[in-house]
Amino acid sequence: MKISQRLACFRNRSVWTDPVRRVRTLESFAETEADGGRDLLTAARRISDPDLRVHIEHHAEDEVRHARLFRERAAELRADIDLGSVRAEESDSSYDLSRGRKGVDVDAHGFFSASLCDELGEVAYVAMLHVAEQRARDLFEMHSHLNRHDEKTKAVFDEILKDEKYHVSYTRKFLDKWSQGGREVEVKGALKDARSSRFMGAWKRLGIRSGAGFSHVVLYVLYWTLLLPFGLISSRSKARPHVQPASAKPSTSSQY
Amino acid sequence: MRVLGISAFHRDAAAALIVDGEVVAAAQEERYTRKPLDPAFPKRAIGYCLEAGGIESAELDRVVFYEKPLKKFERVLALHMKAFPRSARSFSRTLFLWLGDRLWVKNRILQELGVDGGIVHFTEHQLAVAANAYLTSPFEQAAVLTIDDAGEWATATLGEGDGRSVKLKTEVLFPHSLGLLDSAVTQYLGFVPGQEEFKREALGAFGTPRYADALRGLVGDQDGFFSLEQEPFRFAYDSERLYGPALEELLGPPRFSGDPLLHEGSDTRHADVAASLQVVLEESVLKLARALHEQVPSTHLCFAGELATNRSLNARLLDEGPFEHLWVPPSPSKAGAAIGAALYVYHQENEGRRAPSPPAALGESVDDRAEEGAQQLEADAVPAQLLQRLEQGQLVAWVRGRMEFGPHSLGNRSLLASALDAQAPRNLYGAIQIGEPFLPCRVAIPAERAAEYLDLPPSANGLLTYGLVNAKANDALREIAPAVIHADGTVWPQLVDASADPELHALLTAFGERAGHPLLVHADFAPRGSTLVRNEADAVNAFRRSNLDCLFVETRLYERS
Repeated sequence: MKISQRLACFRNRSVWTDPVRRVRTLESFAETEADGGRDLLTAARRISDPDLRVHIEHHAEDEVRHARLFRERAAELRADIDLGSVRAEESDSSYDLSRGRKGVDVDAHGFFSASLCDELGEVAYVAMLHVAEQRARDLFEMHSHLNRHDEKTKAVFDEILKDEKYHVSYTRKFLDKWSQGGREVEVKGALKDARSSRFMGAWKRLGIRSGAGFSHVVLYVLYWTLLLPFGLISSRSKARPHVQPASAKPSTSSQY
Repeated sequence: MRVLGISAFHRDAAAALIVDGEVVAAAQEERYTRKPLDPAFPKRAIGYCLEAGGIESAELDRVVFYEKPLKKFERVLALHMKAFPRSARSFSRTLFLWLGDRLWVKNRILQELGVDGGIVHFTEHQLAVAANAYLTSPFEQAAVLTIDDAGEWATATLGEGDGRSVKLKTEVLFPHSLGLLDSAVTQYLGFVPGQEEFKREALGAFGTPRYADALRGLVGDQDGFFSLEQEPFRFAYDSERLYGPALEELLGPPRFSGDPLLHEGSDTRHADVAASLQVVLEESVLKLARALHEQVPSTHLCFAGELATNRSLNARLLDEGPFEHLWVPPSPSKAGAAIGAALYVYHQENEGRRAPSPPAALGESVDDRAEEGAQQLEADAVPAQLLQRLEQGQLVAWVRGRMEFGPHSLGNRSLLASALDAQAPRNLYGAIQIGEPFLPCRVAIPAERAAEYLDLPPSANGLLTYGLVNAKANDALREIAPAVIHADGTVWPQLVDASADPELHALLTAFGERAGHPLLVHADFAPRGSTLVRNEADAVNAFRRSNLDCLFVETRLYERS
């Protein structure tokens, strides 16, 4: 196992030790896989290469089946811990299998906008799919490992892993075919874009999170230092009247 | 003169384009991002408005933002200081948001649109809401009432509209807010505040107002102007948790999302709380309306803001209020304020008469691009096909023309089913994964036949057309279509006028001729967790994920394979 995978294992261990998070994580996977299946069906309708189209339709069916497997296992675990019935808003949104999609291109459910395949073109679309499936394969390998003491859950991940490997391999096959057909530069560029968009996305998220965390700390410190005297004075001040005449001539040129 | 109105950074961001006083386009950003009530800067909605108007941003004469950011920031800062030290956690969270984007609205507008800073204007929030209420109304003179959650300082205003001008006279200031009282109780009941107040209202139909006295104790009254006890609420300094332990002491333990909802059977506590708040809101608004009538003794009232989406409240205002005629714009809240802000500035700077009330369908047209699986029909075959399927009891999605601006579809992005089928409302919502059994469905009725089925509120035509008021069902409707009647005996009607929407009117009439009664259940074509569909691709995607039987997009038919 690579060092990065070991680190990820360490980070994700708590997901599977908490029985409630465990259920919600599986449900979240189910939701993402089901969404993915629908996305792929939408894309398949727009693919011109008949061979690729068959693979993508097959891929879509796999995703739907994965959703069912995750959902069934989650339901068993739900019943085991008497968690009650499933609710849409409960799923663990921290789990993102979003296949490298850009925020703008997905709807509230995480679906591709139907036009993305048109916008990207087949090569870039398959490159993006390839990179995303590689990530999913690595993720599921990790989760399978983390569930090694829970045979049933591990079996679900292992079953799905077989398909993920097929998804990585058929997308690779098409990328190779296009490369050999004289589109090597395009394929390389598309793969680079797909990887860098994932990398840049992760980097931006990290930047935003750490920046936000730092800002919160600074503002919190400010509150207890610089603003403290104003706060003390203000908290003892009289309340404003609750009704007043409105401004007779409101200006629209000022922001105040 | 071309004026672009923008509302953003609170809820339901939107843009509207006014050309020579006429609203030519308006759209909510949520329809593009598919995030319900998306508050983000509406750059896609602006893009659409400019495209629909056939202009570039450089050709705009004014860009108007619907709030004064510095004034609002002053309020946020002052109230956080006032709540010291309870506001410690919320302070860093709120300031982070403000310093991130809300404070730099003008820069953002200049950056996104590339316009000259001199053309960017700012109206006060409640003034934009009031302008949306009055300047889109059919009245030449009217009293104007706005009741919102929060703007800069004002949460409710009383004013007057006359000719082209709107003037605010009196304002109730934050943190005294009926909108936030509604949101706090909505959150107490386990719904999303600021989004799901309609669920709180619907739930109220199942309850008895046994907590009304307790809630009345929180709402003071001074010459008709409400004030709020602050102890039970936290919204003055915390936008995440709006109520405190004092409210729990008063009403019992709160419900959290996912907990069972107590609204039927022996324990109806949640419905009772919802019903109690409804009574208190209605009473407070009636008092405010009477105070307004004393200041502006008009026969006409224009009403907007968050509370104007409350259909039971509108019905009571019509029934017991001091005004004979009531107007609520089709988009009465934050999104509609984009229209109000632009119209206000236009009429401040221009002479001439106001344009007639804009239509509700101000958004994108259906693109002319068939998706896979489409069956092309002859244009004159569509009504017959629709009719046949509705008669067969099918659940039908119908998408046509321009997208509506506002919270609901009025027929252009709609789901329809026979109202004579007792299961239709549940099936229709079930088909788009909306499972709350207490949510009501609209019933569409030809305007001229409405009196056969409803005890109509007087002078409510505009409201009934936009589905903004509840009405009492009469005996005939109770017998024919019990499934569309709420637990409190009211209905959510949408009257369809032959001149305003000839296609839907003709469909209703033909359905009536075949089935005996021209009544169709009508719901928004918006899958759970998403927004109204925008174009054909969206519609087909939503259809494929749903359990609807068929989808008509203009002259194309999609069927479940």
